[in-house]
Amino acid sequence: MKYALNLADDGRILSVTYAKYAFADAVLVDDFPDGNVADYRYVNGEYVYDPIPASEDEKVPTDAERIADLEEALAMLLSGVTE
Amino acid sequence: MRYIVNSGGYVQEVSFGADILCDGSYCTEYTGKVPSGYDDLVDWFIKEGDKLYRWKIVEGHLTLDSNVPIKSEPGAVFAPAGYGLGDVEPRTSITTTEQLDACRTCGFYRYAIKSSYICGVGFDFGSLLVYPIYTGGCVQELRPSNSNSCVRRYWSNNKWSEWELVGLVMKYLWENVSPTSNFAAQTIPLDLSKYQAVLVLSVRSTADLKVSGVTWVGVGAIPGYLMGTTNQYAVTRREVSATTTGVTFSGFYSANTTNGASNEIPVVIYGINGISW
Repeated sequence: MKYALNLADDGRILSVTYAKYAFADAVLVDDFPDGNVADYRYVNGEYVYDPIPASEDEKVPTDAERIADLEEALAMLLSGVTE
Repeated sequence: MRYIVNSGGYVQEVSFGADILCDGSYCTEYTGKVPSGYDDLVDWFIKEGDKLYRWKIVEGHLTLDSNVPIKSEPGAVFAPAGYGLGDVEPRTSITTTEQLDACRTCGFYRYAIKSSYICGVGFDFGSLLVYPIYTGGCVQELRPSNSNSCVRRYWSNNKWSEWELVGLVMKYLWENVSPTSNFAAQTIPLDLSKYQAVLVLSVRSTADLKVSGVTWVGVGAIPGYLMGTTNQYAVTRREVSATTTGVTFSGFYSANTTNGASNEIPVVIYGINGISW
């Protein structure tokens, strides 16, 4: 089975699909890393483990945080304050 | 059986019981021999009907010109009566006498069309299938080589209707084989020049692979969104747009903030054609 890599300019793996869906000139490989492929770059035919540091921006809000945000917004609306 | 040949003497069309409008070509009742290796002319047609261009009429007899190479003609197989109307998958050949008889009642024939422009859709090469429908009359269906659309017209009261584009065609174009991986903003290169829209299936997150979003985006139209919800108030989304050269995804958003790559993961892209309104 062959796979096609969609790579960023620095070789970061953006996504992987089957070779049969590959566009022309796609990078075809026999295998790809387990786990989060976005943690790898494909450089000179090899996978380099290079995870992107997690940032606060990438954190997915929890339901409790979303509800708190909504409650705050609702309180602002009820008080007549708008942004 | 009647036939039409081109100027080189090669068979263009054959007919069993159907009236062929010759339109300046030669339409002739075949009185020659059954070619060697075939039970009868119908058997010959079933086996060679997609390769008529290799057969010449020489001194009144069907003669194979083996110097003519076989062309690739995907999906061009004979259709039994009333079977699979509107689908786009290759059809099975006639396998029973009953199926064959059903077709004979209305006549059937086929030929290759090199270049046509029908219903606003251009076809480079295709096959014409003719078969009866259960409710009476006949339907004639053009199967283009790209298999992206089909057009159909109906026979009733001794005349054909106008061609109409029928069916909504979905073709599987791309699959994410690592949906548990973060999906950063990116463009999936695809040739969408023959599609009107794409349909994108997405899962909620890299940790929840149940399909949660189905998003339709027109090719060249304004962007749409892969949508997800954590409750009835909170929505996460990822912008998606399509051009003739691919599908572009943003990172995913929560509220007004770009939050990264781990939610609203696209898993499948279909190409859509045959949309009408």
